[in-house]
Amino acid sequence: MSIKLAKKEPDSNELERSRETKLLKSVRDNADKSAYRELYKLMAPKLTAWLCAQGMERSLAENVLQEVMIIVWTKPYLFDENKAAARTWIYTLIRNKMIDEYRSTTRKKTGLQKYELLNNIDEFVDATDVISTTRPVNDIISTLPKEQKQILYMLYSMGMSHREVSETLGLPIGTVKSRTRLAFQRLRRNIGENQWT
Amino acid sequence: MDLNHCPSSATLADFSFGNGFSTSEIVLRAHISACRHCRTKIREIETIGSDLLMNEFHDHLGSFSEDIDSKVDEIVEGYDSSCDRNSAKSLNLSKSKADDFELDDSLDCLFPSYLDCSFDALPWKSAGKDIQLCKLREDGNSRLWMIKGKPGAKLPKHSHRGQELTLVLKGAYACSSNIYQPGDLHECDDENTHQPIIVGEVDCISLVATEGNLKFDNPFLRLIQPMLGI
Repeated sequence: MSIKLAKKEPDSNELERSRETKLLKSVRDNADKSAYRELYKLMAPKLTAWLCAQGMERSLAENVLQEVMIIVWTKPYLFDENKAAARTWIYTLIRNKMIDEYRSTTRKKTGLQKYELLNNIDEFVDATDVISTTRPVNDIISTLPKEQKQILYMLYSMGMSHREVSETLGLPIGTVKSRTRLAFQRLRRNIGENQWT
Repeated sequence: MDLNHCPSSATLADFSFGNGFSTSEIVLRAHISACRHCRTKIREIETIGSDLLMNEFHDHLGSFSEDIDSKVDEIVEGYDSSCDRNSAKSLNLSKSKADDFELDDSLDCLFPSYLDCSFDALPWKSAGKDIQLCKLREDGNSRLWMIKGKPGAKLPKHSHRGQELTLVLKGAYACSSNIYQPGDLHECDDENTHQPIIVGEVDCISLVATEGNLKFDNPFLRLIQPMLGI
């Protein structure tokens, strides 16, 4: 018996990812200023918001972003589309830069920032239940159990470690680990598997 | 190399975000250098992060979109594209957490660079019958150890105040119905009580990162624990 696999149409996430990669290749191969401007506009606001959510002061976040975007313009040859999509490469650059800043300035979230972000968790988790279904990634997130969304939020948006998640939620570390494993399993099956570029 | 025991997704995520305790990084790097499976998982964690970023996952945190054109102008008018081809710092920043390790799938090439001497030359200290310890690094509550046991040796039954990551370098040990062999990473935390037993014909040597002190069942070991510094 043979099984015929239906050809999967690219979803909007894949199309956007391909678009960003095409823009970065044009920056790399042709020093294309308009492609760079478009890529910057697509990514910079989201990256700045993310850095601030990790506890970084707004002015420092803007400086870090600008330093990273200078690298994207002056060293685009470091990008290899066979290894990662443009968004993943730029996310990696900013994540690494952020880790450097953490280490060099012992920056830590203030209690107030943490409190405000923790209040956001419930709002965020509730919002994902009615989120726009035009975004395939959000579709997948909205199907995750509430407790898995909560942990993803704390890991990715707040930059917390698993121990911090465990202490903040008052859960055993084993429970946090198993919820993380289940959330990643679901996301890996549905987001970007073998579709890095 | 196909390995039987790998770190949890949670520990790989902490590693990827730079959130692991300090000495854990060395043990994880060593395991990941030998484990394609973990390198793939790290890339997945990064890909998921970038997809969440671009798909409004964080948008409720606010948007920062003013002055974008002037910021872009600053860069494209101020710098030539591809102008700097000699920056090791930028190269490091642009690496995936999986990239550092695509050198060699064996542990052999890695350890001399960490230890800069042979196992025999390490300052081992006796820690019970047929067990020796050597503390390599201490950073607050985070410690890095080498532990060596003769075949048949039993480590004292213990649990932890924090995470413990053990990477087998040589020989093997058994613990909770599993066998850990070179390259395998054994992850334990506060909730696990265990007692590794060295198996096979040769000494077992492991690299261990601990966060916080060990907790022993045996009252005598609790008494001498401060002297051993574990």
